[in-house]
Amino acid sequence: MTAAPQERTERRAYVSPDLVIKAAMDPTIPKRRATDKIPLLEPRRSGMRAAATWAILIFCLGNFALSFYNPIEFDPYKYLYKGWTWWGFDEMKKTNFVHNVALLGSSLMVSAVAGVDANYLNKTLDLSQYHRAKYLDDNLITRFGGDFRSLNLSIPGQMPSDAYMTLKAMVATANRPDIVVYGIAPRDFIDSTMSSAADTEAFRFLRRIVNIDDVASHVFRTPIARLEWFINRTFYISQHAADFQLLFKETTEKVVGEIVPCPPATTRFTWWDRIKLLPSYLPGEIRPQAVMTGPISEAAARKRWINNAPEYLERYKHPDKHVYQTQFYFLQEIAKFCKKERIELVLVNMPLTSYNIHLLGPPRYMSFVGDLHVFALKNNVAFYDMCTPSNYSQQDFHDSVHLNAYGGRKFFDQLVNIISLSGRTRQAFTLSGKDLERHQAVANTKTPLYQ
Amino acid sequence: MLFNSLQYLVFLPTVFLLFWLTPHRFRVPLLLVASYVFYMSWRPIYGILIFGLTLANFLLVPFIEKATVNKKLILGITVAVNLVVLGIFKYAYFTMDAVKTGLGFAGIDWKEPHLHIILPLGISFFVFEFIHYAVEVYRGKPVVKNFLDFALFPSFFPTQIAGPIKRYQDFVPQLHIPVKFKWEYVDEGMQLILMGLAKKVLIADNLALVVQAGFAHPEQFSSLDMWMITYAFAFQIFFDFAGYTDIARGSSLLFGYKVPINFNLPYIASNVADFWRRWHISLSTWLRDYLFIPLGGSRGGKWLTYRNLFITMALGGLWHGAAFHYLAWGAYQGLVLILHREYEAAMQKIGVHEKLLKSKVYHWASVVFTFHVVCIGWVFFRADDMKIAGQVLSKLFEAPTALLHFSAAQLAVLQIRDPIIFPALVLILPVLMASTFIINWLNDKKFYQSPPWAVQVTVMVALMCLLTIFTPDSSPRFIYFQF
Repeated sequence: MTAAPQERTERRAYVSPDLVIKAAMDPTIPKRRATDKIPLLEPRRSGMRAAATWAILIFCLGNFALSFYNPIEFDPYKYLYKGWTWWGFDEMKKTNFVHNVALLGSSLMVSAVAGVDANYLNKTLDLSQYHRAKYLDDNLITRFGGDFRSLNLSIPGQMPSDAYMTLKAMVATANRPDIVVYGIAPRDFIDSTMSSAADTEAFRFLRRIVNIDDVASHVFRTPIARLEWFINRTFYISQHAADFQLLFKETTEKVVGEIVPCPPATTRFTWWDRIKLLPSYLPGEIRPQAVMTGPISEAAARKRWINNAPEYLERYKHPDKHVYQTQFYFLQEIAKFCKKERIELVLVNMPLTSYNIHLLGPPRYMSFVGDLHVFALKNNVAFYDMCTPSNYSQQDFHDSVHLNAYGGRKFFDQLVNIISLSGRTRQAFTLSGKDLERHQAVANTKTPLYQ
Repeated sequence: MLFNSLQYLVFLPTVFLLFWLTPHRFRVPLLLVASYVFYMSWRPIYGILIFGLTLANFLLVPFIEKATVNKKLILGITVAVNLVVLGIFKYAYFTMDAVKTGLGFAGIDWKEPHLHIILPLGISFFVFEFIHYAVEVYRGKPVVKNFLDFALFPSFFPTQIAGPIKRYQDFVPQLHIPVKFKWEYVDEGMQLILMGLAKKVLIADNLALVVQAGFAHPEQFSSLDMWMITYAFAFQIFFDFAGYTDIARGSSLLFGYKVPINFNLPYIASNVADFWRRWHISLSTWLRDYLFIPLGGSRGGKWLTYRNLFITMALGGLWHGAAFHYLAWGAYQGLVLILHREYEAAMQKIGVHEKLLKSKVYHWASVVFTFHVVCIGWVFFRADDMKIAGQVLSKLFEAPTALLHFSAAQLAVLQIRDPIIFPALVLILPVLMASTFIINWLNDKKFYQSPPWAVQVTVMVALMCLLTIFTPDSSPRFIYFQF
């Protein structure tokens, strides 16, 4: 019926004889007579009226009914799009370890942790699978005693809105950390290429786990975005669109695999081949062994320098005031949430090269740091400004913002040092370390009590 | 604002409700405002362009009607005004590139000026509508006296961006008719819109993945793969554009207006001339009426007819885009149309038995042959440049050798399992081809004219569910928007 309606309408006479046109355009002829002559639609069979209205009604009612009965229990971790956040939570779910420290931040944190740990452990790390911060943990154990197990959930491009969702999801899935170390930089707030808070991979995945009703008005800026959000939470099918897509994908793969099996070939088509063939298909998706970091000698690390100035010129080009305010709002929400959950928040301004600060513009940078200080004071948050060019030379970075393995080691050494100098954070880390050690000891007790 | 966006999902019902709540005399102004809002939501400044062209045509064309002498000159001026605007916005870069290349051959290094021209959406379509209006008035048809009616003709939002190219004699009279609301408008309109979205989101966008990979890296695929990818593009462009047209026609129907159809099962055409009677009908009839016939049509003998045919098709190709590969596509179409005429003449001359020409075997063999001739043309159309077109074509022509040593392991599309659309092509392409024949058969049985109510409702609900799942909002824009 509806397979090709254009053919159907074509079969109905669509005529516009000149006489009728002239009649219609002639003001002396009554219009109703002209109407009779132009067959807009042929009369249709009775009983066929308002099919569209009925269809809309059935669709809406069906969705409401499905929302009430929720007939299919979907697993929020089964997701079509496996990005950085998905891999982090996948590991958290699989390992079942208790983590007392969580690391959050953008690629600045990712790069620092990965570089330093690859050297420290002297092995190549697969960043889709490795979410620890071993060098930091051992440093903390040496300084504060007890036990430390950090979970690194920093991801490239993580904005405060993503960090907020990540932290909320950790707590929602019974993985509440005692301490959060959150490394931030101006580009998390001032970035012309930054997408809307709701468009990131982290946000899209984590909204499956976390309720975002409380922050929706800040995430969805335009009326259309708000409408989309409303549709997504109201209509069952829309809410579970990603689940249905995955179901469809799995079924199709199964059926196609049965009917059209993969013929034997000398070389297998890999994920890397797919990236080359279809670079814009599922951008940002990563797979095991897609992002690897290996040990590097000091001389090689210090020699390596990538000029990413054009990228940052683009990023700093047109700062959006609204995005800046929205991301500060989320920083505030992180502070509020930590207070409510009794989590110690340690906010760190990540090191940058003076060259990058110059690209941003010193007045903008000063305004950003000023806002951070005010924020920390207002919310009683421990804030450490580690962006001191006197402490870091260009040789500590592998481009204008990312620390290399040796810069990363310097950063974590200094961070642990600063933490231990402040009474508040020293106490928080000491207590957390002792707590985890005690709990680990209880959990590892092999003799049952009743023997 | 794209048809496959949430904005349109809000915009269309709002205009629909306002339209039917408004007395007849205010409906044209309402639609005009809505159409300008629709157009200016993309780039407000270009609202001035469409308004300026509308005003210029509205003021110039009555002179053609009134003129007793120099009628042709005024028509020429009017057409030139429209073509100059189109030329500046669409062909400035292309012309400069061509001049630069030409001068380069002569050893002159010309630094072309950098122009900041962004192609206004739909300009090719509304410029063609203006030219049609001017020519029709020149041929003796009445002018449109009411400016609002005239302004709505090119700017009517359902057809504004990618047609179908309307005829004012068909469209403007409909505005005068005090139409009363009918449920049939909503039923048919909704069905067309849903079908259009489904064609775009469920079929065209998925096929696009394969086509994109194939035409970006033809070296990675075998000859037989490239044939499948070319078939995939044939269906992608059909479902993309037919999908757009369905949405345009469905949206118009919601207001009780009919706009012309653009497609009539083009892939069951039994020859290239038949294909052009079924493909982008509003453009092919425009080209016939305002380019082929004014050039002399078939009146000047065989060679002049062929010349006119070739020029018409080549310019039709260039209309699609300012690039040599579009020109090549048009020229190819002109060439195959000429060859078809020659073939028909030869068959008549030889005196091939009429029974053979009318036999089913001959007919279906012609359909298959025509489809492949069209597919070869699509290579020029889809390739980013002539070099890629050449690479793809050379691959296609290796097929006979590849078939001699055929093994499934040759097919790269079977090796790629992510996205699954690659191996699924083997199943999807025959289904798509078969669907064309089934629809044709159902057409003959007049199934579409009396679909059971329950079937209508079920299909619409199913489509709503599928479209919600496969989110049309995140789907890429329609191919024909770039023209």
